[in-house]
This record gives sequence, C-alpha cells and structure tokens, in this order.
Amino acid sequence: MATLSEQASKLLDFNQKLDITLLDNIVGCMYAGIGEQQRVAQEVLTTLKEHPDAWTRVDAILEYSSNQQTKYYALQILEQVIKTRWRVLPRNQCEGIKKYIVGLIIKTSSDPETMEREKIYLNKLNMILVQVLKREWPKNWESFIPDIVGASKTNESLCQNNMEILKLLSEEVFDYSSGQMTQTKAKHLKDTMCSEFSQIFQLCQYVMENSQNAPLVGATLETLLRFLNWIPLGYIFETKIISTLIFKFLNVPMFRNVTLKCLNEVAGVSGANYENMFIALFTQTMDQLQLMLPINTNIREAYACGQDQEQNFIQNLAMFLCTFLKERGQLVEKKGLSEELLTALHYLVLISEVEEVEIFKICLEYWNYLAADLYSESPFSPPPTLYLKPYSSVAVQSRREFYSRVLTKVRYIMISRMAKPEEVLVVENENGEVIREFMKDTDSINLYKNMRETLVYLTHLDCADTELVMTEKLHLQVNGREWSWKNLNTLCWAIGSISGAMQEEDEKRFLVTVIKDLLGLCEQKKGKDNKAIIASNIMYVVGQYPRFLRAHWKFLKTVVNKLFEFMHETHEGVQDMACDTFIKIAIKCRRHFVTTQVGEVMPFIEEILSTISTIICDLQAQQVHTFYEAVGYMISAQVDTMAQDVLIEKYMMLPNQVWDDIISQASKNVDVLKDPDAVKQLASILKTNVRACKALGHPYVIQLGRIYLDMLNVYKVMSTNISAAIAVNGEAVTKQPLIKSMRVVKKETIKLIADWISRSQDHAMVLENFIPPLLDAVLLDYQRTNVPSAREPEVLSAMATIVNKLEFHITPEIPKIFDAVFECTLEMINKDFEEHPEHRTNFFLLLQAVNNHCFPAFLNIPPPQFKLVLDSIIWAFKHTMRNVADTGLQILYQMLQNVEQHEAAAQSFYQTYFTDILQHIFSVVTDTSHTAGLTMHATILAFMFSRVEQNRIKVALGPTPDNVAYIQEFVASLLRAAFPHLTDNQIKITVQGLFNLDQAIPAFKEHLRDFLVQIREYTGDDDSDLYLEEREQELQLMQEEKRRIQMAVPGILNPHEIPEDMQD
Amino acid sequence: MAVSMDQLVASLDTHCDVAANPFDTNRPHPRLSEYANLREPASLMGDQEKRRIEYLKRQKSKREKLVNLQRQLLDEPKEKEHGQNAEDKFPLNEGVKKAIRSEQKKWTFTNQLMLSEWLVDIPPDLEDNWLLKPCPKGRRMLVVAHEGFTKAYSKAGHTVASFSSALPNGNSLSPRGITILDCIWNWENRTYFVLDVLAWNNIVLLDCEVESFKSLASTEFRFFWIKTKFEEYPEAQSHTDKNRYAFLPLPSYECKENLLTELMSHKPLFFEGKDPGLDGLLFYHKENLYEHGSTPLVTWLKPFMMEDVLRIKVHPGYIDERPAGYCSQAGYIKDFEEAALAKKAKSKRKGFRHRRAKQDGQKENKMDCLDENSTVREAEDTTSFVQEKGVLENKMDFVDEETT
Repeated sequence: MATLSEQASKLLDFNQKLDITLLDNIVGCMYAGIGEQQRVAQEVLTTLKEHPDAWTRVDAILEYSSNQQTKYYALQILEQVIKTRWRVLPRNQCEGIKKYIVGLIIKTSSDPETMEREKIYLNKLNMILVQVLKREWPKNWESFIPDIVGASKTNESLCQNNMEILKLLSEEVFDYSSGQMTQTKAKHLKDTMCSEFSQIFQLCQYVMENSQNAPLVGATLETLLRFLNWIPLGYIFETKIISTLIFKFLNVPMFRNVTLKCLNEVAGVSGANYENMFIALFTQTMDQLQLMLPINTNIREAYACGQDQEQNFIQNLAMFLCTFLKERGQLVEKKGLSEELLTALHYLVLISEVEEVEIFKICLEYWNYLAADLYSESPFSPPPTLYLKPYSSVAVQSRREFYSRVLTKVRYIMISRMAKPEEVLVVENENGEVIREFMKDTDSINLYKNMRETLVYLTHLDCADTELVMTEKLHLQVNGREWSWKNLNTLCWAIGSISGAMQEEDEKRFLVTVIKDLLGLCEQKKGKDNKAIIASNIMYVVGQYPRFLRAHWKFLKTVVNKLFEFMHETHEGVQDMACDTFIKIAIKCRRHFVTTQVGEVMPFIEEILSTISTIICDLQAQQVHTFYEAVGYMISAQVDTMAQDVLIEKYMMLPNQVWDDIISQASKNVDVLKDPDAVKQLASILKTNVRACKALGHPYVIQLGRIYLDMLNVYKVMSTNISAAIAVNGEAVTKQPLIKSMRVVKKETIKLIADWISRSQDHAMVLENFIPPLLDAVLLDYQRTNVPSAREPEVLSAMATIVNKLEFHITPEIPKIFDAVFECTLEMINKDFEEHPEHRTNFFLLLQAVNNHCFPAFLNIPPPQFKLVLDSIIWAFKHTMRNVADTGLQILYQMLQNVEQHEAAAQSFYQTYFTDILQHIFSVVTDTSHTAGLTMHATILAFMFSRVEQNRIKVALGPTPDNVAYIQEFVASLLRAAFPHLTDNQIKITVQGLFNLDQAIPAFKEHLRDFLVQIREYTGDDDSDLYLEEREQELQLMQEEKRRIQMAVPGILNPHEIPEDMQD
Repeated sequence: MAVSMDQLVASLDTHCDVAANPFDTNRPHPRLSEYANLREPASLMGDQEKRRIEYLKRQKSKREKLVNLQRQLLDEPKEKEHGQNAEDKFPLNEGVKKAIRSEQKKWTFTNQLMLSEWLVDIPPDLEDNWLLKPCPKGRRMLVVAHEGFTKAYSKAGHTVASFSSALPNGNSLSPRGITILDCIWNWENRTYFVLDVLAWNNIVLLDCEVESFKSLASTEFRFFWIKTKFEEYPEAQSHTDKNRYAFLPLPSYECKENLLTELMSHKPLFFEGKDPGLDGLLFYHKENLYEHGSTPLVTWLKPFMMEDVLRIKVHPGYIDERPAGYCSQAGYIKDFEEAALAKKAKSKRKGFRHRRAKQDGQKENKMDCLDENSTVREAEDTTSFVQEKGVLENKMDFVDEETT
C-alpha cells in the first residue's frame, strides 16, 4: 500500500513523463480494489484530477491507455477544465483541444462497429464537445452547423453520432439553459440555432426519406423529437414531416414509440393557423392506430402481459391522446369529427383500465380536465325541458350529451379504482411513545384528491348516473360477485368522496340506500374480520356526510352510540376507527350535541359526560386523548358561559380525580413523583388537558386555573429530579423510560400553557394571573438547569408564542425573560451551526417575536447586551439551516425598520453597526450556500442603501462627511478585496446599480444576481440554483389560483377541509 | 321513500356490528333499549339458553378428554423433585412447563378475558346452578404475576401497569411461576377486585388451547380456590411496600331470591368510604370452565335491570341510574309473555321464566318458583345436563320450539 501511494506521487510530478501503466493500475484499483487500497487510489485520482495542469496529460492518456476506465477518467479531466477554466486557457490551447476532440469523435464514430463498442466513451466525448460549443459557438466557431451537416453526409454512422450531438446541443440550449448561462447568452444561442436550423432540418428530412439504416433513422427521430418544441412552426406544418411520421414510421414497431412521442410534441405546440393540419394529424393517426391496435383489444390485459416496448407504447399513446384531446378536443368537436373523437375517447377509456397507476394518472389528468371543462361551461345547468334555453345553452347541453356515454364509463373507472383518502402512520416519537400520524401529501393522497375532484365534477354533470353506478357497484358487493375487502373499501371511499356534490334531498335518498345496503351486507357476512371491515366502511361513509347527520338527529345519535360500542371492541383497528370517526363527527356536528334535541329530555352531551368512564374504559391512552378532544369540541359549541363551565367541570372530572389524588399524595411524600406509574399518569392527564384546551379554546381557563399552580410545582419537581439523575448518572440517563416520561410531563406542561395563552382572549387576566407564576417556575428553572441538554427547547417556543400573542403588553417582562433564557441559550448555540437545533430555531423565533412586538425593550437594555442581541441576529443569518437564516434576515429587516422609528437611538445604532451589518450581508450574498435568501438579502441591502441616499443617517459613518460617497467606496473596496478577478469597471457598475436601484427591489435583485453570475462565470461554479426561488413562487401562485377556483364549486373541497365558520 | 329513517336507525343499531353477538354487553340490552320493539324477536337473534346447553356439552366432552389425558400423565413415571401434592395440584412435568413458557412468549394477553353476555333468557336452573358476583365499577384487567413482576393488561392486551405484589410469583422474592387473575381495577381505592382466577402459582385453572396444560376447574371450584388461597395470602389484600395495590376477592352468592333481594337493598355495597359503586351483576354457571371470549354461561345485568328481568326489588338509588333510552320492564315482560304463551301448550318444563310469565298477571312479587318443591323438580328436569338423558330432553324441547 505504501508503494501504491509512493508510486502515485510520481503521477503528480508533472516534470516526469506520464507512466501510463501506473495510471492504469491505479484506475484498476479504484474500480476493482477494496478497502484501504481503493481509498488510496481514489485519493490519488482526485488529486490528479484537481491539478491545474492535469488536462495537459489527457491526450497522452487517451492515446496510450488501452483501459476504457482510464480513458473515461481522462475525459472527466478534460470536461472539468472546459467547465471551470476554459476562459483562462490561451486561445491556441482552446483551438487545440477543440480540434483534438472533433478528431477523436470523427475517428470513433466513423465505423459502426467501433461506435457500438465504445458507446459510453463516445457519449462522453459528445458531452465534452457540447460543453465546448456552449462556450465557442457561434462567436469562435461560426461554421459549426454547416460543418456538422456537411460531415454527416459523408458517412452514415458518423451522421448517426452527429444527430446525437445535435440532440445534446438542443437540450443544453433549450431545455437546460436556465441558470447555466446568463439569459442574454441563452437567447443568443437559441436565435443562432433557429436561424441555421434549415440545414439541420434538411439533413433530418433527407435521412427520414432516404435512409435504410435503422439505427440512423432511430437517432434522427430522437433528435427531431428534441427539436419539435422550439423550431419555427413552418418546418412542422408546411413540410411533409407529419405525414412522413404517421405513414412511414408510426406502424413500424421499432419506431412507433419515438414517433408517437414526436406526434405528442406536435399535438402540444400552439399553432392556431394550422387547424387543418391538426385535424389531419388526428384523423390519420387514429386510422393508423386502429390498424395497429384494433379498437376491441383488451388493453388492460395486453399491457399486463406485454413487453417493455409494448407497455411504453400504451403509455405514449395515453400521453398523445391526452395532450391532443386537451389541446385540440374543442377543434375536433367543431369540425364535427364525432366518430374519430369517440374512437379516441374509447381508447382512453380502455387505457384507463390498465392496472399501472402511472398510466392511470396520465388519463386521470385528462378526465379531470374534461369533467371540469364541461362543468364550468354552465355550472348550474338547468334540467333541459324546464326552460326556454338561449342558443349557447343548447350547444352546451349537446356537448354534455355527446360525452355522456363516455363519462358513464369514466364514472365506473373512477369508482372502481378510487384511491385511499387518508394514510395513517404508526410511529414512535422521540419520547418513546407510539403515536399515529395522519400523513399529508403522499402520492396516494394526491391521487385521491385528483380522483375526488374528477368524481365531484362528474357527479355535477349527471348525479343520477353517478348514483346509479355506485348503487350498482354496491349491489355487486351484496350479491357477492365483486365482494372483497379491497373492493368494498374502494367503493366506500368513492361514495364518501362526493359528499356535498348532490342536492340535499338526492343525497339523503342516495345515502339511505347505501347505508341500508351496507347494513344488509354486515348482517349477511360472518366473521369478525368481515364485519369489522364493513362496519368501518359504514362509519367512514356516514362520517363523510355531516350534512346528512345534522339533519337526522336520531340517526346521528345512533351512530355515536355505535361508535361508543366499537370503542370496546378489541378487534384490530376498530377502536382507532371509532375514535377517528367520533372526532370527525364531533367537529362537524358539535352544536347538535349541546342542544336538547326533539324527543330528548336533555342535551346528549350530558349523557356522554355521565357515562364517560364506561365509554373509554377499554381505550388506550392516545385514543382516550382523541376522545377527550372530540368531546371538547362539542362543549365548545355551548354558547352560554355558565352552562359551559358546568359542562367543562364534569368533563374534566375523571382526569381531575386522578390528578388530585396524585397531588395530594405528593404533598405528603414528594417521592411519589418518582414513581413511574404516577409520572405516566400525570403525562397522560396533561395530554388530555392539552387536547381539551385545543378543543375548548379560551373557556378552558376554568380548568387551567384549577390545576395551574400544582402543575407548575410538578414541573419544578420533575426538573429537579431530572437534573439530580443526570448529576448522579450522567447524560445517558435521559434515555431511561422514567426520565423520558418526566420530560414528557415538562413538555406537556409548557405546551398546555402556551396553547391556552395563544387561544386566550383576555390579555389582562393572562398577564396578571398566569404570567408571573410561569416566569417564576419555568424560566428560573430553565436558567438553573445546569446541563444544557436537559433544558426544554419548548420553553423558548412557548415564550415566543406568548410574546406573539400578548404583543406589547408583555414588554415590561422582557428583561426578566431575557435574563433567564438569553445568555444561557446563546452559550449553547454559538459554538457551531448544528448543535441543539431545536433550541437554535426556537431561540431565534423568540428573538423575532420580541423584536416584532416589544422593540422598546431593546432600547432599554445596556449597550453590551444590545450588541449581544445584534451579534446573535448576524449569527442567525449566517446559518445554512434555512429556517434559521430566514428568521435571522427577517429579524434584521424588521429591526432596521424599528430603529428608524426611534430617532435618538437610530443615529448611534447606525454609527456603531451600519457598515458592520453591510459587510456581513455581503458575505452571505456571495456565498453559494445562501442563494435561497437572495430576495431577503436584496430587500435589506436596498433598504440600507436607500437610508444612506435619503440622508436619514445624520452621523458621519466614515472619515468623510458624505455618507453616500463613503459607503460606495466602502462597498467597492469590500468587493474588490473579495473578488480580485473582477475589473474595476465591473465593480463600479455594480456599486452604482446598488444605489440606483434601491427603490425597486425586483430590479435590485436582478442586479445582484447579474453580479453573482459574473463572479461565477469566472470561477465556474454551478449557479443553476439562482433561479429556483422564482420557480417555487410561480408554482405556489398557480396553486393558490387553482384553489380559489375550486372553492366556488360545491363539494370540491372535502367537508373536513372547509373552514368551520363557513358551515354548521 | 322505501326505507324510513326510523327503520334505518333500528337497522343500524342492530346490524352495524363487529362482535356478531346481539347479547354483547357493550350494546344496549336487547329487550330493554330504545329500539327493542323495532328489532326481530329474540328467537331470531339466537337462543341464549340453547347456546348454554351447547357450550356445556362441548365443555363436558373436553373435560372427559382431559381427564383421560391426565390419567396418562399421572401414570407416567416422573421425578418428584418438587414434591407436588397430587391432591390439589396438577403435576406439571417438563413438557408442560415448557408449554407454559413458550405459551408465555406467544401470549400477547390480547382478548384473554372471559366476557359475559346480557342475561336475556333466564336460565331455568338459575337458583341451583348459578353463582352471582356483584361487580364494582372500574376497568377490567388481566393481572399477570410472573418472574417477579406483576403486570396489568387491558382487555386488548396493552400493558397498563407494572408493579410488585404479594401475589405468588408477583415479586422478586417469590418462586418462579405464573399467577393470572381476572380483576376489576378501581383507581380510588388503588384496588384490584378479583373476579376470577386463570392460574395460581403455576397451577393452571383456565381452559386454554394448549392441549398439555389444560385443566378443568369449574366456576365453583375457582371461586372456592380464590377464597381459600387469598386467606393464605392476607398480605395481598392490603397496601404495603411489597404489595402496591390491594387485591380483594369479590364474594359470590347463590342465586336465591332472598339473598339477592337482601344484596340489592344495599347501596353502597362494597365500602362505606370510597365505595367504587356497583357496576352490575355477573351470573356464572357453576360448571362453566374459564374460556376466553364471550360466553352465554356468564351473564350480566345492570343493577336497575334486576327488577325488570328477575323481579328482584332494588334500592331506589339504582333505579335513578337508568340511562336515557332505557325502556324499563314493559317491553321485556311482553316479549316473554308472548314467548311463553307460544310454548305453553308444548313445554313440559316449568322454567323460571315460564313460571314468572304465568305469575305476572297476579301482580305478585314473590316468585312461585322459589317454592322448594318446584325448584327441586326443575333441577331434575333441566339442570342434570351431566346426564345424557337431560341434555337430550332439552334438545328435543328446542327442536319443538323451533317448529312452532
């Protein structure tokens, strides 16, 4: 091994001749070796690759090495130099490299066999050539296009590879250019390529029409595919290319996939003037298609037993049909080609039955579009015979009629393959508790949302038909022909998904039938497994229809009693189902439980409260918590405060009994609070309280007041116990179950207080009664805990919540809060950027809250402490943890604005900190790991420069009285020192722009970004992430727009997504 | 509309069901609830008395098999290292111990408790062959003392508490082995009220699936066992350092009218101080073996139902506990009258309920069936299930019933 690294050092000595055998050996070690040997080999190769002169060895390696891996390694070196140092190489060297690569490519690709054998090598060469082109073409290589087209005509295999190069170039320029080169550069390349495209096109056309060489034709089609989305439309529509594709290539198995992809591209281009061409494309393709894939084919089965190629064909066909019908469906309708249109739709229906979910998603997108489109034409379309319809409405009606038979089939498909509406993950959290988490945004849930939306539109279009399909599917369950757990679940998810889409009366009739049939099924099936599934489905369905439940009290009450019954059923999953359904119903129908219903002697809540111990006796702790939250929602609907307080007292009686009992024992012997069972009980009771508080909101105060002081005492005891345990046994003791449960008690206490204060409605009461004991107990404890990791980060977030809620009212208490938490937390996080991430995040959130609402508190603290605050803000925005950095920037921006409001303080602030802040901001702006914060950086800088420019800074920031001149010079020298490779002119323009644009943040940001591209052009850093931020925002805007439209359609939003104030 | 909401509600109440037992005690009593009159008559829901006979028959055949098996075990030569007393302990050879051990690991303690049904059909032999246990309010637990720990498991098998107790095998000082009790946990008193025993110091008293460690211990025997064993372990009944929670055996009573009336006239029943409250009454068939899951051989009534079902006068305090939706006696008695009348001509049995139905018109509280003579006759008629003849007779009786 020693010899290996010794020998390797020879490779790095550029005065010696390259020992190619040695290099081959090392590359061999790197790929085939193991352990230490491989590690050393890798190290050597990396060092060599990074050597600035390494590229001078490339030609020798390529010429003399016979090892493919070594050659590939040499190409990597070459690629590296082109990407990072091309502009600093002497021109003649550039020309040399260029020629060398072109020569190699021609040599390798001229012979079909060599080309096939050295495919990977050649691909890499092609990539390298494209990298060169991006830098050379057209300025230093004007004749590139004529060169490559000309060369192509000499040799078929050469031509095939040239197609490959053209494809890569097209991709680089049109698909991946954003962020890779400056916008102007990209535009220039695109223009050049378009203007010289005719030569390329002729070449493609020539090949397609004349060549018998299959691989060449294949490569040409692949290349053409990349061109289709950007070439001038004339090439597509005023040439024979479409008919060549359809008639010559579509029916050839070898080419049909790429051809279909080409047609798909064409279908998607916008060409309003070429309607007839689109129609021809459609009819001809459909004709060909029927010859290739007879319309009576069982595509679902064909797909299931098909080869990859065939499966891809189905997928491409789905994409083509969806794109075409979405973009040109209206045109086809207008031209009256109903037969072809129906055929296409029929294919799509058949493809929608394919098992593969990715293919289904493609189809779903179109069905969703179609249903939404038909619906939005006339959302409230009246029954046809009742009104004298205006002309347009007749057309609408006939469109709906035209699609109606297809849509019935689509309804069957949606209903038979409805996705799962919710996913629950059972996980163990950091405190060792097993909890159930409802997942958001999984693939399956998104699929559910799309299908649900489609089905709701389909129901609006013809609710009788949806009802018919669902009823029919249900009968197939009852008579056993389609009976299976999966099918039943799917069907019930579908039934539950259209809640709210029908008129109330229709919905009622439909639901009664559904429930009756499901009950019949439950009666008919034997065995707990079967019955549990059916019962769960019944409960799922009724839980989805709160409107129905609210209208039928007796039914609602029976459902709830059933759920209580299921809470005793130990068959797997039944108790969870019962609790989840119960809380769903409680939220949606809460008011009905606190009012006396017709035929009752008292509100149902009274019955629940008097039997609560029986109802929950078989539930597990977390199910009990859910139950309590649910009942809390009911009680929250009681508007009479007095009556509500009585209910709350009764509601909390059970946990309070246990609580009082433990407290009274602890008051005799505090060691009771070390008993694992007692600690667990306390944690569970506190969790119950947290859920009660969540559901009740401010009125929970009556219960909080009851336990508040005891709770804080328990908190202190727990904290003392934990600290003592750590003192005796070291930090490892925190992994023990007992200590974990003690921490749970602490965390839940803090959570309970913060949760309630954030829901409280009486600042004075909170400040007077709840804050002082809290500060005494919790904050002092935080400070005194001498093992940092034993401090609960939740203390900080709770304080932030409280400050955000109480705003300026709590300003007088800020010094006290800071005394307790500021320095000791800062001490924990100022060593690095990683340790104690929760404390870190929460600390800055607290700082932000104080800065936002209690800024005057900062003006009253001694200067050294203020400096500490400012330093910690700067520390925050230097983090690479994005949330922390963002918080830091927001605090700084807000603080600059706050400072400005206090004239006296402002000037000394500017004098002390202004240039400092400027310097730190520039350090993150130019740091690639902080690109995400660019908008905020720009905002802050613009703000600061405009303060200088508008003379808001009265004190002299530097030796000269003119602050503008001083700051300009300051920034210029700052940049000059950091980026010595920039020219003075570049820096001057940059600084100028920073001032000129400081009133227009977007322009200011563009300016900053240009500057960043410039500094990276030279160093060659990848700057593709500079544009990600905008794209993110665009997507979000689109999302919001979409949601806004959805809100207007009844039933599109799940009843459980609609904000509560909009119903019940 | 084809289906009225009322019908739908009644159907939901009846058919939306997992346990598949209309007499499940987690549901309303089938004769005494709001929708009772909308339901099918009881005979369609499954005849409880008929199932009792089937259960007893099944248990009897098991018992016979087991006796044979144990005879074999006893006959086998074996080491007498533990000096077991063959009179009150079943010999546990190595194989059996292994079975317990492996069973232990396999056991999740899920659904191991024996659960009752509502008392719907009044057993004709109630007075002679049934025992009653008053049941305090609390949470049903399976308490397992094993390897020095005592753990309490919920019905679904989740560990609820772990502590040290003075039960055999329940603390680090006691011998290795296993003790399993069926208890009701009462928080206020920190007390486990002992309902039943599944195993005691490695002696297995339940009827379980592992062939080699099955034993036969009738309810009567188990209750006697609890009583005498707890006398041997007084420490388990109090709160001490070694015994965190008290274990109090619940008394059992013969189902004689005067005894029951006396019992039901007290409220509170258990303690003067923190009385846990009477949750309900459990009726155990004396010959029943401990089996997991619900059984018609253990039945349940809430205190206020004693009057409606068995004509036992109860303390007025219990009447106040009737929940909303409780339909008192009218429906119940009416049902029975009809059932009894239908059978009147055929039935030769003079069962408890039959007689009671007949007497109903006379508005007499005292039940005729408590008359000594008739009770004896009844016992001969229907409770001699151990004799093949009795079972057959019963069986025929039911065949008749179904044909009517």
